[in-house]
Amino acid sequence: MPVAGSVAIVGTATTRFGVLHDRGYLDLLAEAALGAIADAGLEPGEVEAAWLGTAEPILAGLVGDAGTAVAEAIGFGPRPVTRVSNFCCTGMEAVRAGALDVAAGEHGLVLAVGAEKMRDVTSRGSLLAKTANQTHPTLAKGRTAPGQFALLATRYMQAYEVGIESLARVSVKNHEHATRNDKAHFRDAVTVEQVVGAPRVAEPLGVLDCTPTTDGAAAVVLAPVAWAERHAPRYAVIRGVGLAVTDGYFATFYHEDEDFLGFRSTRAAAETAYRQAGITDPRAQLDVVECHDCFTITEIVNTEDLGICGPGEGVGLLESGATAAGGDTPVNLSGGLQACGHPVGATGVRMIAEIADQVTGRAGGRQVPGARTGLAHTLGGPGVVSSVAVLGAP
Amino acid sequence: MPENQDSGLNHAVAVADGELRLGRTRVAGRQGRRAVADRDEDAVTMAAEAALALLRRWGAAGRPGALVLATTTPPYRAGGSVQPLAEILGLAGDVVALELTATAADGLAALRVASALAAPGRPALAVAAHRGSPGGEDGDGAAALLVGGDAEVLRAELGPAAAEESRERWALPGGPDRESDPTLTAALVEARARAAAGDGPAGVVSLAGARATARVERTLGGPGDPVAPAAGFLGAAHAPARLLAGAAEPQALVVTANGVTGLVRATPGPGAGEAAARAAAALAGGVEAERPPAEPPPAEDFAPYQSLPRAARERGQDLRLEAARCGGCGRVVYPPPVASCPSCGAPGPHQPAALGREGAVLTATRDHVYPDGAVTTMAVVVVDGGGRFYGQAVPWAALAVGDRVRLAPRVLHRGGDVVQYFWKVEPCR
Repeated sequence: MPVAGSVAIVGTATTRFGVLHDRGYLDLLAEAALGAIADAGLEPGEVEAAWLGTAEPILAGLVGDAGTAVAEAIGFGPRPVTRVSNFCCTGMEAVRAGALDVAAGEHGLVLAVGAEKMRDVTSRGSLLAKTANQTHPTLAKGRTAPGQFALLATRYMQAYEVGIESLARVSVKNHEHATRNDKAHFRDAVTVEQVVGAPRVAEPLGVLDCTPTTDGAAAVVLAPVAWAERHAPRYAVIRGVGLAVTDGYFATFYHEDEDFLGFRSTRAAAETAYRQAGITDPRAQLDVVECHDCFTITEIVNTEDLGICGPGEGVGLLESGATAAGGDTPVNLSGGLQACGHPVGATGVRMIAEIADQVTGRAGGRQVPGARTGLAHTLGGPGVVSSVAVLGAP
Repeated sequence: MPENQDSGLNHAVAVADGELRLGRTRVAGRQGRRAVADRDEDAVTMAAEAALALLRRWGAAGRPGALVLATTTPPYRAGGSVQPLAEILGLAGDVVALELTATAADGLAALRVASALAAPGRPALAVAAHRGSPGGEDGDGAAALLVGGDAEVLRAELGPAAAEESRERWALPGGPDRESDPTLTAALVEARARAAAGDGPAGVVSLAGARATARVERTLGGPGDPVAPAAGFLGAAHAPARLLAGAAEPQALVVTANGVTGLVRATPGPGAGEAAARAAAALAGGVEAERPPAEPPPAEDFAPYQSLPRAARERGQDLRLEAARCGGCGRVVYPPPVASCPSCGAPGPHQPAALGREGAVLTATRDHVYPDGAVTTMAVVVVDGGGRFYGQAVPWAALAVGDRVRLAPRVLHRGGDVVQYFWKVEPCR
């Protein structure tokens, strides 16, 4: 049967995010996995299969390059474990794969865990070195992650006559949100002046427009809704889930369909998830949103691509306060990638856990009163991979 | 020069067209100014820029059957520099290609060899280029000469040549461009120049240094060198550059370097005035600066991936910029689709097409973290005629949305014993 409406999230856990020199990859994985299983009221022996999301095992000495990491970390053998990877959608892919597993009826109780150990090397030695050294020797050579999203910022600012102060307000908002998230990488508020005055990384983006490089892990336990109705202390239902992959890693920059004002992948993934979930007016129907704010400009175009506002209206939406805590559609109450951090494989799972906690009333100081429907969104690679999931209260 | 070293060879060379290209930055030199290239330019890219200007002007009629590169500053000391030049020029696979790297007199040697290789309807291209070492005193530049057919620009008579062992020849790997005793060198140059020039007035191109060379030229009644004070000494490109700069008048040049001496006499063709004016504009142009452009080394861990099988498989899309025109929607797609068109999904077959070389900036960024030593400007270009390009811009580019740009051959990065050439985005002047 389809995932939408038939698969529940019955347990969640997220480790502290940050530069965690005292914790190894397997430590983080184990903490999240065992935490989610315990949160579901289960024993590890009751979980039948696991899906692991880790995008860059090369950063941690190839730990996490296959499902073996789960077997090693929590003694999961001899059960099936598979690692999935799809750029920054890796964590959401672990959840989606686990949900497909449950929906297919192959396994009943399934673990989806995302973990990333990015700071066992320096931040410069992490994804940046990979980009510089391992990518295609001619095509798109010189591309970095901030440089790629800066292309959108330049184009967007020119097309819609927007200044960098408007972009900065995403960072200000999400850092303020993170002051209420004790798991977040950064928990200090920042000002527009600080964001605008920070050193430039890829113009017009500066350091405080960018996600940090973060260690962390998150996990959820998936089960059939029918099982959750009888056994789960509380649960969220996956109402819709969409994945869209639109183009190649290097080739997309060369293709005339790209307008550098947003991402077709997000629009396509949202269309799928919304159709399944019956979302026709996202701003009215979504109580809370976690979206992929890897850079400030990304959240602005995401809110447009997700249909929370129209094209070119992202800055207006942001500046209206609608997406801030207390607004009608709060976005990234966790602090988002901007302040909570972005351990790549963990991020999507962390978002799913966050939204599941919101619609089950367990989000603590970040709780949106009465939240019943929420959305999680990740965007991967050069924006050609996007995952959107809509979760709801039972 | 000693009689027994006279080669006795005389060549009449018809030069149909010529182009001089100099490094963009002009700094104070020992005499006047010198031209300095950007940090991502070398002898191959400058040779390519000069030659591309010629090939664009001539189209199919100028397609050469032979390509001769002369430079004492080749990027590959052990050979292999003319091949990427052939790729950049779109001649690879269909050209006799040679490189001459012995002495700064090879600019004339390239003319001699190109003339011998030119055939009716199939001209030959002689390109001489020079990229002085950072911190050196030479100028950077290239001169391309299209040889064969009608002598539109000039007719050159290449006279006797000679080679002899000389102390001034020692150029040590990693050392300065050349090592010489200035007094000895000047004396040698004078002796050779007098012998080569006979009784007539002649210009002099030599390694003796600008001041000593100018003195010898005065004794021979030469017209004075317009190139050295404007651009510095251009190595193997210096003699061809002087031929172009002086094309409007009859001229004679004695070229002597590292014990190799040659004489060339040239008479103007119908296009000489135009060629001389272009050369004069190149000499007068450039951007004044206090010091040469910085050449920061890349980050220590910068080691870009290289694969020779990859380079061979994808040579069409690399330096040749081969694209495809979709059989379904007609769009130009670069790089060519692996199978289906990325726009309409048509499975093909698609027709071969060439990506254009000019366009407008769609968006750009100055990236401070790509570890190639300095800020890297990246741009997406809407290419005239269809298709897009995305890549690095030349180091000095300051790009805004909508700016007109062209694609220029440059060094993308060095590493793994490979110089990776590719196209970069350069503002139209």
